[in-house]
This record gives sequence, structure tokens and C-alpha cells, in this order.
Amino acid sequence: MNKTIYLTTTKKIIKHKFVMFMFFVIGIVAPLAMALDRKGPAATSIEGWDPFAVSALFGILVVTATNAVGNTLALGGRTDYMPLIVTRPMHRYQFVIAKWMALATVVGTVSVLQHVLLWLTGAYTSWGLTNDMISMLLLERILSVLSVTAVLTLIYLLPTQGMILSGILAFELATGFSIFALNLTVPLKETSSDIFSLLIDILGISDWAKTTFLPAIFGGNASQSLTQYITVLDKVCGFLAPQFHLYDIFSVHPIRWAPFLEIITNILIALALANLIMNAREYHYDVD
Amino acid sequence: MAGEDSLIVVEDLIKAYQGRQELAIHGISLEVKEGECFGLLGPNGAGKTTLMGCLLGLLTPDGGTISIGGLDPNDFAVREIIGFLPERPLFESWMTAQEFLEYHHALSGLDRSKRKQDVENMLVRVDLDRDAWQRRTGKFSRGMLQRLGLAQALIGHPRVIFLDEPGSGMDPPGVALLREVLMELKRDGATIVLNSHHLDEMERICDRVAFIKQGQIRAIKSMSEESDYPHTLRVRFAERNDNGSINDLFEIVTRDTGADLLELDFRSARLAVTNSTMAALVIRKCIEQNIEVQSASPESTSLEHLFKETAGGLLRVSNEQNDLSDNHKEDNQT
Repeated sequence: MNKTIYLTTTKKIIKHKFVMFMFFVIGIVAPLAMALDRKGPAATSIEGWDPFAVSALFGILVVTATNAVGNTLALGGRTDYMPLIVTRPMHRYQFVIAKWMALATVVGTVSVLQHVLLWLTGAYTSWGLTNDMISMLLLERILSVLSVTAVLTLIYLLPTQGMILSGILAFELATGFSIFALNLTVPLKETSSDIFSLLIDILGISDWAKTTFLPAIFGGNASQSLTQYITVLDKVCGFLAPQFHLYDIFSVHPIRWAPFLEIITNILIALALANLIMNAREYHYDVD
Repeated sequence: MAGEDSLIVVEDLIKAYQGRQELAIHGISLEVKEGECFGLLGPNGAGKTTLMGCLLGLLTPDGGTISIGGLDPNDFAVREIIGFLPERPLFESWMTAQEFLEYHHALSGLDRSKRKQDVENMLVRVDLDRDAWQRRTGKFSRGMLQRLGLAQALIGHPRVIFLDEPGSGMDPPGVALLREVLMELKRDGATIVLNSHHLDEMERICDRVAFIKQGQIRAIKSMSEESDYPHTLRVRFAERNDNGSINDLFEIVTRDTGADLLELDFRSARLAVTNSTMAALVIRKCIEQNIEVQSASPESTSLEHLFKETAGGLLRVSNEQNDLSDNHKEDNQT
């Protein structure tokens, strides 16, 4: 890792006012709001959250937080100052690793801060989590951050702006519940999703989608195609933001290492691909 | 076969871009000696920047070889000794000028204890206003960015410097400063590869110039060898009251020197001379004829002349090829 790139990128992210505002909201305001509201009847279940709302909020964070890192990774045509960097005595992989670590440091700090605040305010205890569970949750967050930021680094190295945008959108869909417990600040599933589902059923949208809309798009065998599509999407999501629960992994005997190895592998694959792209990339500093 | 004193050696370089039918670089071979200033000259789209990109290891050639000091351009040892200024310097806009140079000082792996001093020296060297040192580069004018870019390229006293249009966007004092810096680098023995459209700048600094067009080197000219060439000499002199006699005096000058008088008015004359010796003779004869010479200078630089000559040659070849092609089409039609 190149220490100069790491420190400069971290400083750059921290200097980004909007990113820091988002971090403040997510890292401090959200857990404190949760702590104040945890005695409410709707907040009794840790599973009761709306992933769509979380995804939307997280998406804003992703786009803004990675802006600082992405700008120096993505192809920017005439706005690209990478030629000056890559002509310095430094391996390209050092650059990738430094960018990844800088992003992971900032995002990780906020995630850990949120975790600590939730623990200090007694939110975790109120859900009945034991100290072991809370410790595992912390480790889980750190691993998630490393994984998610590795994928983000890869996304920002994709060769075209269109691919980068698609990557961000895919990533946004795939995440939403990995790093930040934002579910604590948005309407809970029991109150929001059920009403939404009910509304869809009442208006007949659900039936119309199943009998008319989906067959029109996917053909006669719509439901089968859709299932396959969702399966693929699920696997992609699994790579972009793998889900795992360390406490479950370590509390059973024999320990199932597969999910743990999966996340490590994901990080390595994302970074290896990022390095491949970085090394293969050409830098046009101007149109001749 | 590369010469022993050649630092940069390019052999049969080929570079193509996706979506373009023509090659961006079409078999370029050249050598740059250590301590030499080598210029790249050619019209827009000729392949100069692509060549520069390949030399810097930013672009991967599709064929041929490049070596700098016998090493690949991407070798660490090479990167440690090179400096580079791109044509349009765009830097981290949130950094101040000082932070930016410190950043590059650190990236170059230079001694941290000397960082502050080195950076300040460099900012002084490119004559960037002290007020601007702590200003964000995003608020810099083009000329200021160019000065900062030059400072960045000079960090660590590189032995090989690649400059792409370094004078672009600079004000006249900036251009003068650039010239001074480049002359100083030459005196220090640095090897310079310069891509510029400023012919006078190239002529003053470069030892040799390569004329590139359509991805090929059409000619490599040594500035010292090419200093004597036919050109137009403009002589300015103090106005005389006897207008009639000035014609007579210049008649004598042209008769004695062999120069052709192209134009004559009350205060100046334009004469076609075949070389610098004839130009000197013309000036001497003018003085002998009591013409009060105020100045005498060639109307075009030698590089302009060479550029026109090369471009003209290319143009003629191109026209001839077109004619042949047209004739061929006509033959086919009949």
C-alpha cells in the first residue's frame, strides 16, 4: 500500500462536506435517534426493517462517499490526472490497495462509531443481544466494510462511465443492510411493507403484473424466467455485498467456515480484478 | 542499432486505437542522446501525444520497442528519474499548490526532511506568486496551473523530462521563464523531450527536431546543421531625405552581394538571401553604403522554414498520390 495515496485519499474524503454530513447522520444521529425511540412498540424486532428505504439511503451515501475515491479511479478523459500519478515510482496495485484502504477506513470508522453508540446507549441490550453477539456484530461490520469497499474500488475502475453507473446501481440494490443498521431509523417492515403489499393487492397491481406485464416481457414462461433472473441477481448481490452472520458461524460446532471464507474470497477477487483492470488500463492524457 | 550514447531508443513503434482505421503511430524509430533536447513537431493529430504516452508507459504499444537507459519505460528505475508535464495539467482541485507539490514529492519517494524546503524552492523557481501557494489549485488560471505543473515535473531533479506544450496558456513572462528553466536544465545535462507548437521556443532549446505526420516521422533535423538556409532578410534603417538615392544604394548592395531585392520602402528593405553568410555580407554592404541600419533579422525562423519545407513536401506527395488515385479511378471508369 502507498502511504501517501492512502493519507491523501482519506483526507480528501474527510474534506468532502456532504460525505461528512451523511456520515454524521448515519454514524451519530441515527443510533441516537434509535436509542431514544427504542422503547416504542414498533422497534421491538431487529428484523423489522424496510430494505428498500435502507437501500435508497445507503445509495446516497455510496455515491457521495465514493465520489472522492472514484474520481481518481474512473476514466475522466481530460479531467483525469492519473497520468501524473502512474508515472511516479509506484506499483499500480499499491494505488488500488491504498484507495481501498482509505475508503474502508472512513466508512469503517463511521460503522464502528455507530456500533459503539448503539452499544453505549443500550440499544443492543434492549434487543436481548449478548456481549458475544455484540462483539461478533462489530467484527461482522468490519469485514462487511472491507468487502463492500473492495467491490466499490473495482466498480470505479470499470472502463466506461456507463459501466460504473450500472455497477453503482447494482451495488446499491445489493446492499442496504450490510454495514449500517439504518433500519433503525426508517419505517419498520411490519408497518410499511405490509401496507404497501396490501395496497398492491387491493389495486390489482399484483395480479396484473403476474398475468399480463411479466409474460409480455419475459414470454409465456414468465414466472420461470423471473425466478432464474432473480437467482442470478441474488448471486450477483451475494458477490457485491455478501451476507453472513459471524455469531451463527462461530456458535455452532463444528464451525462452518464457508461463509467466512466466502467474504475473504470476495475481497480478494474484487481486489485482484481491480488490479488487473488498473494494470491493463491505458492513460490518455489528451486527445492527440 | 542504438548508439552507445543514446538514452531513449524507440524502434519500429506501432500503436493503434480501437475504432480508428489508421494507425496512430506507424513504425516510428528514433534515438535521443543523453543531455539532448529533442523536439516533436507536427500538425494536430500527427501522433505526438501518443508517442509521448508510449514513452511514458501510459500507453501500451502494439508493436516495436521502447527503452529508456536500456530499461522498459514502466521500470521503477526509469520512473525515478523522469519528470512529466501533460498538455493540460489538471490536478487535485481541492489541494493547495504547496500541498500538491508535497504530495508529488512524497510520491516520488524523496527525502521527507527536505520536503518543505524542496517544494518552496520549486515554487520560487517557477515564479508562482507567494499568495497563491496556499490557494486551492481549482482556483488557478491556466497559466498558473502550467507553472505549477512545471514545478511538479521538476520535483526531484529528474534526468529525463517530458514536456507536452509546456508554454501553453502561459503569459509572456511565463514563456520567458519557461525558456530560462529549460536552458538551465540543458546546462545541467538533463535530457528533454519537448512537444510544442511554439517554433521559436523549439528552435532556441532543441538540439534536434522530429517532424511527425500521420503517425510517422517524416524527417529528423539537427538545429545546428540546419542553421544555414535560404531566407528573407528584413533590414530596417533610418529614414533618409534623399529617397531617390536609397534605391541606388540598394542596387549596389544587391549587385555586390548577389541578394535579390524583394521590397523597398522609406525605412525598410526585404532581401532574399541564400544563407547566413550572404545575409552578413548584405548588412556589411549596407553599412559601407552609409545606410544607417537599425536592425536586420530573418523573417522566419529556421524551424519555420524546415517545417514549411517538410510540410510542403508532404503536401506535394499527398497531392501527387491523390492525382495518381484520381487517374487510376478515371482509368477504371474508361
